[in-house]
Amino acid sequence: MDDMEVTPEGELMQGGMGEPVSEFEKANVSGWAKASLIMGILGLTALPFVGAVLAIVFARIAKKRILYDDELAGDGLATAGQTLGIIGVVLAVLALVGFLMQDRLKALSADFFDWSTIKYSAPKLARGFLATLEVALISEFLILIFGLLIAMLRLSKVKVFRFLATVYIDVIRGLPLILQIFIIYFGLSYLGLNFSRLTAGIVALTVCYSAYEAEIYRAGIESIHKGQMEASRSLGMTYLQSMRYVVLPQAVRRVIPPLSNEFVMLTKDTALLAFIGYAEVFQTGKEIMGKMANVTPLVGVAFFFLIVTIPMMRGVQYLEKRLAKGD
Amino acid sequence: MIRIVDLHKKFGDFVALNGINLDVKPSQVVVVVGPSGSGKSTMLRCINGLEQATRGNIYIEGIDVTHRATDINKVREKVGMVFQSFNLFPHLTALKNVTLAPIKVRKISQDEASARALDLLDKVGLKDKADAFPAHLSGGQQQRVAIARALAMDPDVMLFDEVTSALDPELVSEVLDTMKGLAFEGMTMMVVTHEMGFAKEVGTRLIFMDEGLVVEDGDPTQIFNDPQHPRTQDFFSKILSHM
Repeated sequence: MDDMEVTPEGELMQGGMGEPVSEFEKANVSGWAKASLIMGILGLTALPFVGAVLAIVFARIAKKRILYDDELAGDGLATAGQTLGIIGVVLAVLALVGFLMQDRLKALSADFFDWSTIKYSAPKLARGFLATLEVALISEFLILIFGLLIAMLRLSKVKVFRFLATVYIDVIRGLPLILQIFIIYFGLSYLGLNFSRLTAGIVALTVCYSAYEAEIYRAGIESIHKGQMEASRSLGMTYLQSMRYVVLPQAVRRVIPPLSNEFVMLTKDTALLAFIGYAEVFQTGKEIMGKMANVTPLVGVAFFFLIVTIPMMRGVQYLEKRLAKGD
Repeated sequence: MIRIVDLHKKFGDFVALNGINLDVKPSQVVVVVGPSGSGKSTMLRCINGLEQATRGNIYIEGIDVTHRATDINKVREKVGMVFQSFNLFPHLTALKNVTLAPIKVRKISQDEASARALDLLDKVGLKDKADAFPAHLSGGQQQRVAIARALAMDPDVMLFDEVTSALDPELVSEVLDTMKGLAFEGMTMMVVTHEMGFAKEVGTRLIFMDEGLVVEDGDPTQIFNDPQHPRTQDFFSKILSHM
């Protein structure tokens, strides 16, 4: 791996880490990637620590060559091996620490990982999480539509539409979401508008996130070369036809990564609805915590959020790579 | 066919067009040449409404394009434009690029549009690339698809805005040949270009523009051989020296 042989080809194919890639390493990329994965698995089973360290080392070798060529399949294997290796190293270190600090840890686990509390709270938290998903998914659907509508108003040639859209976007983005939730649930009831907790939650999240996503859509639309609109109009198509068949199909593709990030944020922000008593996962966890005088439920709540947010964030990164290749 | 009357265009303080008067007859192939900033592209873009004239009128087949009440979309159905940067729709195949406008604007059926599009692509020599995406086509091929796309709307006049300036030299002639074929079929064309060979061979009329005005206007061969105005002489001496 530390072979600094600079062959003529080695000079041309610089790995992304800036080190020359030798002939030997180049020829065996998928070999290194596979070896990394195998070592990663061994690192968690038969060969703790040593296997994990080797997994990371092999993955680095594999990646040096892949970065130039963007060979996704090898990259996947190498990343998997590297991830397992990192987990293996971390677990080995934790095991060691745990062994050395046994008594302290027993006390900690009673507070954060109490098994009977976990058994009691798991089904309730799962139900709460379904409520989280319900409000998040319905809101997201509405946001994707309203966000685009507001972006189109913001870009309109009609001054009034542009003005209204700009005011909406500025005011909503200038206020904390929790305040907007309170105004919609508590405040509007003084005007006779009594929403259920779920409805208020959907309305508040939609109103808020549409403003942010409108700006994302707008940036996406403006990033499309103006020649596209010109060519389309020159063929006799109207502004709306050009938007619908030429500009938006291209713009939407570009904004999928930032919009996906917004969805991750939205999912987390559903926790704020606990403040109006909506029975989503965080609210449920709080209640159990009060009843059982134990912090374990919060760990469960964290677990539920992470199983959605982490895969989504990784998914977005993968999407970005795929879309960038297409451009 | 096209009548330009006292056309002015300002971009802020910059005067792009300073009083253009022009009469283009049917089937004429008007080649417009001149230095950068002379207003050639601006004039073309005013004709199909991509730029709004500051003053003056443009009449296409009698319809005042510059009047606010005119339905510019209807005008654009009759005026085809081909751009320097091709501007093909990257998310659509070559065939779909050509059929999109006829289907959405003229409301003809998918089958009819596809049949006509294949004929046009055949005409520009790209029938076998009908299902290719623009990204897989060379610059010359993309520009020819762009020409087919503009022709799909059956225009009465075609505007070409420096359509070969962004192409590798080897790819220029395939595009010029396509344009030559169009000219010989009697299409009215206005071509902004630096390709003097094309002007001499295909152009029926040459216009030299400088600083927003038409400086010289006449037969291409005559102007090349015997430019009258000092600015014209100056321009040609500079560019023809390395041809």
